[in-house]
Amino acid sequence: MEEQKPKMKLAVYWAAACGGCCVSVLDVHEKLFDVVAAADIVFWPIALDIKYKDVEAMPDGHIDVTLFNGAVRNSENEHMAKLLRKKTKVLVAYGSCAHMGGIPGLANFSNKEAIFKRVYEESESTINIEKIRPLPQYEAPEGKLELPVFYNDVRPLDRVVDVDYYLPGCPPQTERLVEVFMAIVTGAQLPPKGSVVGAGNMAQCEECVRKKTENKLIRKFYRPWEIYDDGVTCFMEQGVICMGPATRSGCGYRCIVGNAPCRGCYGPLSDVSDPGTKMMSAISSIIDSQEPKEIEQIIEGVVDPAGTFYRFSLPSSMIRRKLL
Amino acid sequence: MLQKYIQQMGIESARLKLEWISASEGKQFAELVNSYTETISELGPCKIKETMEVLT
Repeated sequence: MEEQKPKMKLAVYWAAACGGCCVSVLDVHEKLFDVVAAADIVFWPIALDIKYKDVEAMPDGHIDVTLFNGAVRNSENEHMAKLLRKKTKVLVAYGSCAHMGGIPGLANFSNKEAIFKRVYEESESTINIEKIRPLPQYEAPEGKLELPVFYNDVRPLDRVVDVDYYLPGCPPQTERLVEVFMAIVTGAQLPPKGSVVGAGNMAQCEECVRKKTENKLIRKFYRPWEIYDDGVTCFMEQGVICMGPATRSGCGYRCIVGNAPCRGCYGPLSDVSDPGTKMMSAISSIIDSQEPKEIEQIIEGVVDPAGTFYRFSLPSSMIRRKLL
Repeated sequence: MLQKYIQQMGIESARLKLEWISASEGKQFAELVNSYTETISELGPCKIKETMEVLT
């Protein structure tokens, strides 16, 4: 009998994530058969009942590829990031949260105390007269109970462990994942370590089919609900902020196809380290006024610059959190 | 825009100043730098580094 080539070992893990990344992996649909033909999935909490201790028992470097999605927000995330780094040959930061901090990273506008106060005391749906907060350790009659420690900062994966590749997106486009996976399986030449894979290296605008003219002058910013989008003209030209100019292509500009402006989940292009400042400079240069007072008024229309321009990238930006 | 952003990030707005001075206006430039240096010394060191360390 012909000897079978040893199958690749694949793991998928979620840290501080919403679960959408794992669903994007499930979205390979029938291609999943190609995946499992080439790889054994050895760890995937959303789909398989494999415990942390099973991973701990694996020899170092046992897993070939781990798709790590989610940011690092608590001690459990950090423990798993370090554990999977040790057990994995190729660690991929999968999705915006692992790549740049993502939506959970917006918590860096706050800190642990403020978040706990809001969630466990002040939120409209909470009645907590004794002001009980979760404890990392609790002595119950049945034994000691433990919860992960909640950190002040949300961090992208590469601030905690060494990362081999980044696969951006919120969530990553499933087709890109399949392409990357097949490249690994077929033994294609892999890009240098630290590369962003499964994405293009030009701005969204280069691919976007909306009608663009040279007339990029803004006298008023609109939030998407304040304006009737004509469905054809470039969002920026209509005065709606679209992160396209500062965002890497690769998703097939699917938000714009759905008539919503780009929000920047694919992150900056490779020669840009801070997407927000790039976007701010792009936007500031198209404000159509020379009068300081008027400019100020136009800028008032950008209600939340930090949250808009760093929606997915705050923890990996230059000023990675609010100073409190 | 940058002003609005740095305030959201908790950095004092006085730390960012934008002025236009032509190359021929040496005096204005010197005065601005002197007065701004004073402003900054009054503000003292930015707490960015310690905050980052404490909160990590």
